[in-house]
Amino acid sequence: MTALMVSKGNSSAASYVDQKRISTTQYFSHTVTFGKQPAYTELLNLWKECKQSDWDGYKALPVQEETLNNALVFIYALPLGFPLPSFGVEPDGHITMEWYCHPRWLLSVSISPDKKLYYAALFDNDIIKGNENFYGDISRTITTLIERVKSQKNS
Amino acid sequence: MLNPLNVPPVHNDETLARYVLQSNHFRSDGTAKGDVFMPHPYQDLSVTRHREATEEEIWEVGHGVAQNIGKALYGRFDIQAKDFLIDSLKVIPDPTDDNPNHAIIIGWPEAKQDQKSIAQQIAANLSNNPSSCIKKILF
Repeated sequence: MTALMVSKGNSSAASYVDQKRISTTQYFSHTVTFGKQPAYTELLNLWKECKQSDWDGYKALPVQEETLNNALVFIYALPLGFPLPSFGVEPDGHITMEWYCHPRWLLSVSISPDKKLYYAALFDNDIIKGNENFYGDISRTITTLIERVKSQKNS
Repeated sequence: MLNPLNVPPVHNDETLARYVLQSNHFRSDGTAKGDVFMPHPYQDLSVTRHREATEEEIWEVGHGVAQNIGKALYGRFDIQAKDFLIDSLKVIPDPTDDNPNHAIIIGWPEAKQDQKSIAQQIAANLSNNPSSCIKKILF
């Protein structure tokens, strides 16, 4: 997983914080509760299934290796304690990550090979959508939407 | 199947099939993910009309699609034409040589996030129907 690390700075203090973050994350990644390994494995299998074009019978584009890497980094960046999404693929070859409570209470985030996120959420009649760049950190917008799905699930 | 020489327009109360060839296009409870209704990067979404087709014929089309790409057919979602009519979407006949019942959903917005949102709403509309879950292969 070291390959997925994104450095936060160049100073010795930043390096120290990075190292601490890495060791803590690696520790929790090996626990049953916080482990992300099943998600990494699922993403890899999904990529194998959809790396050829026309994987859906409707002329879909292949999932590129860059898209897989970006999705792996996204999952790595997901804060501890946040639920893992289920994965899918869209016909343009983007990988989708879905946080789901029921068909009218969910969030879907697509990730592209060029580090762009496209998201759409449905909370009954409340529709939220947008796009943003992804440079290794998940924005407050996205984490807030994940928390909103999660809150309904827990209520 | 429909007579290729006399294909009628699609009525709102017609049932349309969308074939599923990807295991991640439906959830473990059998409900549809929005991903299965995404057209991007294309401008339209393919469906097959039930009108004047037997169950066997509808499955035959799905098997044909799967066979063409050498993949498994997981099933299909049956959805009312009116459930696609969100924003500027329209359903129009688009008969092909091997499928006179072929139709397409057109009028999708340009922006990907707008398409995602509409696809999500289509899947949500589908969930209101009693037979909203994926139909497994019968023939």
